[in-house]
Amino acid sequence: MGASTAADAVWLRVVILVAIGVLSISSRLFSVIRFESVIHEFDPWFNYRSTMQLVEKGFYEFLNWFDDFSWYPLGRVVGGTVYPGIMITAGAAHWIMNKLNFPVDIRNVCVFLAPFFSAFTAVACYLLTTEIKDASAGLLAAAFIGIAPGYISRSVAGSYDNEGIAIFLLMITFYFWLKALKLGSSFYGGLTALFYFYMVSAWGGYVFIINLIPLHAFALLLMGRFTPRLYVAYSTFYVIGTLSSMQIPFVGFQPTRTSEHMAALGIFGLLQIIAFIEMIRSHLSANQFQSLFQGLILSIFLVGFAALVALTFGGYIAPWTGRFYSLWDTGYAKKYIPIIASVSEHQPTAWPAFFFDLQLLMPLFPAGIYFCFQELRDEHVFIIIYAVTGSYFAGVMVRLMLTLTPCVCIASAFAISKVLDVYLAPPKEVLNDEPEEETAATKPGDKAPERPKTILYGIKDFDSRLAVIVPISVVLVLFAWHCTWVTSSAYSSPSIVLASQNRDGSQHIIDDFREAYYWLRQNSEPDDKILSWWDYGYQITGMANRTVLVDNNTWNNTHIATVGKAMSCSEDVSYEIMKRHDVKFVLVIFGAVLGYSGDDINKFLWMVRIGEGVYPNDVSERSFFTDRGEYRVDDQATPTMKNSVMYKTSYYRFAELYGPNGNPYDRVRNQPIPKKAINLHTMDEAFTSENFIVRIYQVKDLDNLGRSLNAAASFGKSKRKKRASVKVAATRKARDDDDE
Amino acid sequence: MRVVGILFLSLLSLVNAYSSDYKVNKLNKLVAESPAEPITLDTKTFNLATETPRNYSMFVVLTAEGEQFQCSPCKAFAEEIRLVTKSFHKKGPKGQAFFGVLDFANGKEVFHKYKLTSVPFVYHFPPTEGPNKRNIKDEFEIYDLNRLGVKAEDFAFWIEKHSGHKIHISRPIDFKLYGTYAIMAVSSIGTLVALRSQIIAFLSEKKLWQMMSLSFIVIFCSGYMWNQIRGPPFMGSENGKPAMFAGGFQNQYVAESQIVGIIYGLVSVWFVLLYTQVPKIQNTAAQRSAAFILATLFIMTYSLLLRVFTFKNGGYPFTLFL
Repeated sequence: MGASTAADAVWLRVVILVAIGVLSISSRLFSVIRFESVIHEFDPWFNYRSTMQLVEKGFYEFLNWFDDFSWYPLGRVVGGTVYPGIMITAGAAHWIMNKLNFPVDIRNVCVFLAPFFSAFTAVACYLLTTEIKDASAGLLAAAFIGIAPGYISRSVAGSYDNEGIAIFLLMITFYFWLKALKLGSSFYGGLTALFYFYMVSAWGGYVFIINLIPLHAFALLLMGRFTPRLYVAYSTFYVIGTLSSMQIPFVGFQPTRTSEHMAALGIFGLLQIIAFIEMIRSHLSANQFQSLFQGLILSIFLVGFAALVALTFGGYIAPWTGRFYSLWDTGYAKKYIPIIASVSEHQPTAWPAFFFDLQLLMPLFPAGIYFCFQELRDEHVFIIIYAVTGSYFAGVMVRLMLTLTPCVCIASAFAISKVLDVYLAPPKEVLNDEPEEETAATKPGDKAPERPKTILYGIKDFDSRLAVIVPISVVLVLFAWHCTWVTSSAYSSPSIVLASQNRDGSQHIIDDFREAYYWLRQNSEPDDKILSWWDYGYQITGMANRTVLVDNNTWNNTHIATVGKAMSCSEDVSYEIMKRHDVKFVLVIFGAVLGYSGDDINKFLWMVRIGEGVYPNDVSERSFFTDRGEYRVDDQATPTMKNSVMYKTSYYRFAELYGPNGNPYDRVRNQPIPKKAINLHTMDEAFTSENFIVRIYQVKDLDNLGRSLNAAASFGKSKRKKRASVKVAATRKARDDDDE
Repeated sequence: MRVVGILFLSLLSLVNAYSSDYKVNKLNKLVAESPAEPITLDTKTFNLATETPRNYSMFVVLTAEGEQFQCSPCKAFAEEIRLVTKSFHKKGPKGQAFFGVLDFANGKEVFHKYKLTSVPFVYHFPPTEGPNKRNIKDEFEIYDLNRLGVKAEDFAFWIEKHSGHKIHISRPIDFKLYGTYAIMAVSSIGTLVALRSQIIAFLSEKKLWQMMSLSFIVIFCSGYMWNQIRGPPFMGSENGKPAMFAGGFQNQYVAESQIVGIIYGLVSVWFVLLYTQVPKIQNTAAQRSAAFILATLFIMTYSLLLRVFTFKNGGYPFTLFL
């Protein structure tokens, strides 16, 4: 190959990589084109709000930020309880662009951050796969990760969340680790540590790195592959990485005090001992010391392990924290931390989810790992370990599909590229070495035909090439279609804006959430407190700019349980809770009109469960189930259910929507709703959005005469005249609704 | 009028109900007979122990240990409740909580009264008077074993939450079990030392690790953990016919995930064979037919997978051949 073709190949690679980058950005823009440039879902709203704080107030103010809009009356020290990586990244991008006189709004920086980082991820995957095989496999892997739905699900435009940049950091850290290991270079080791530091600042998933790399090092040790290169790479990475990770306020001294980080420390110690002994052996070169040294290694290892156990029991090292522990003991979370178990992305993964997210790559994944075993250099060992651990975690939790996806892309790109190499290249002469010997050994009699010195290895015929390449192309094209289809149909919904189709096929935007939040922003006092389930906390603070009791940062279980209790008890009980917390408005999400299944009645059992965990005397999950153990909302619903604040606020005046002769029907639960009117005596309906998705109630003031509001309401009922006029107004309202 | 009513009621209760102290005495006597066992109740004693007023917590296990019911959780829980009772009576406060067992054979009337169709359950009747008095909505509260666990520790955790009695479960040391463990440990260490070199040779076999890793990956990527956590049936049935595949995207049967795992494995095998075996074939015609056969197998197996997925996800638009 001449110099010019080599240069051409480099240019070709660059062009292809750029094209892949453009592709991976543009395939993530469905939501912006279909809806608008808007922040999605729940957590991104908090990240967006903190980024605004960072951009407006500056870095130090941000680190010291005490957010009094969340967790009323506790508040939250944001600077010390947040992974600031993504905010700083977006803030820096915003700053640079403004310095270059591109006046971009910070919101647009946040919206487009994840797509841009997906292009970087593609490059990182290219580099990593190039280390595993060669550039052609690298390009395949980059193309795969660029469009794999498993990764797109967390990085579409608008999903401004930690994972958006974390996968890039994960892959680039692994790349530098392999590079450092190959070259034994402390420079690359330092780069590994640097990107590890960036990763620590960005996502709690950094624990995966700090356990995977030691595991890789340990596996290499067991395979007898200790080299000075391993020693240099690991020591540089561990020391710099750990010290720098401790600079993140949220992490602090955890690397020295929690079990999650102890494996890395242990391997660091083990490497020092082995390096020491290797050194002595090279000086002494005496065989009789070997057994002594083996005993020494073993005893030091055992002493270290015993010390670790002792320190854990002594309380100096925290045992595995709940979130990580629940990955091993999968029943743990459900029993002791229902809050973690209640999140839908923490559920285990059924096989259709794997296939939905990875399609073609899934069945080719084992093939790729097989090829890794065939070559089994240090980097292949890494991919194998990554694949095994990654598949376990992805199986336990849906959200961890994300960490498995790059590995699957790399492994299957490896496999496909290997097969394509054989079927595209001309056959070549190779020495006839081992494979024939097996048959010779089994049948000693047939040794007569003499074996040629060389054989022609490869595909000799054009149509047999075609027979393999055509199917592979077909499945690859199908994969690309699948990815586009999944991205477009499943992963591009901002979830704060919903879409439906009109009868003529045109798109109809359902914008209830923003409508309601904006109503709150305009119609409530700046210091009003809003009670809602924690899912909507970030959105309310972000969009309505009001104080909430609980939000998506679920750090205080008791407080969440208090809200759960307020939702699941009768009005009188929860009125007391609401008054104690200065609650002015209650916000519930209700999907029965539209058939929106992510509403509060469907989440209600978790509120009950979490409430019961802290207030077992007031809340009992069983009393929400009928005698036959069913969860019902129709006329067979249990009295506890019917009296709960959640049920009442959800179905309040729901029947009126269907007119006097209609049959009210819950389109989510598929159950008819009783027509009997629901009376609320502690709150007034303040706002209901266009499609009934968001309902806001204003909590009444204390009664002037000091009666309970229940008593006051029943006293008011006896005034028949007033009651009648209210009824007329109500039916008129209902009729208006029907006309629409 | 109201005063008279209260008087009348209290008179009634005097006539019908025994006082708490009387019942505590009676129950204490029963406990003293066999402190390590829960009280065996029948309909009469059950009614006596659970009627109001009470100044103690009454836990009653409703069970059916008779052979004809084949209730294995009942038997499993019987051991555990014995352990809880023993631990409680050893250290816990006297006369504040009692544990009873009511078997279906002894208390059919009670089972009918509560319309119980499945066992085991634990009913807790909290104190209605005295210092530990606690008001609950119903007459009793229920410990659901299926949801909260059959282990004594789980039950003790629940008791602490619902009655305030902290019970430290001390499982008796099972010398037999530990003895077996010790013998097993010694013998296995002995074998390990004796077969040291063979074991190391076995463990450093690449094929072993390859098989283990590959099957681990295939098993876990086909929803094994979901099966472990959710515990679905091996197969379902639809209109009387056995069904391999569960309807719905979020659901699966054990058989189904195994089939999918096998398909993953097969696709990989055909693909690997395309690389490892075909290029070595010297005869052009043989090579051509091998390539054609393997490519066909590859694409057909993959089509099968797509077909299965289309079944799971009705709106899925892509299929190949099948």
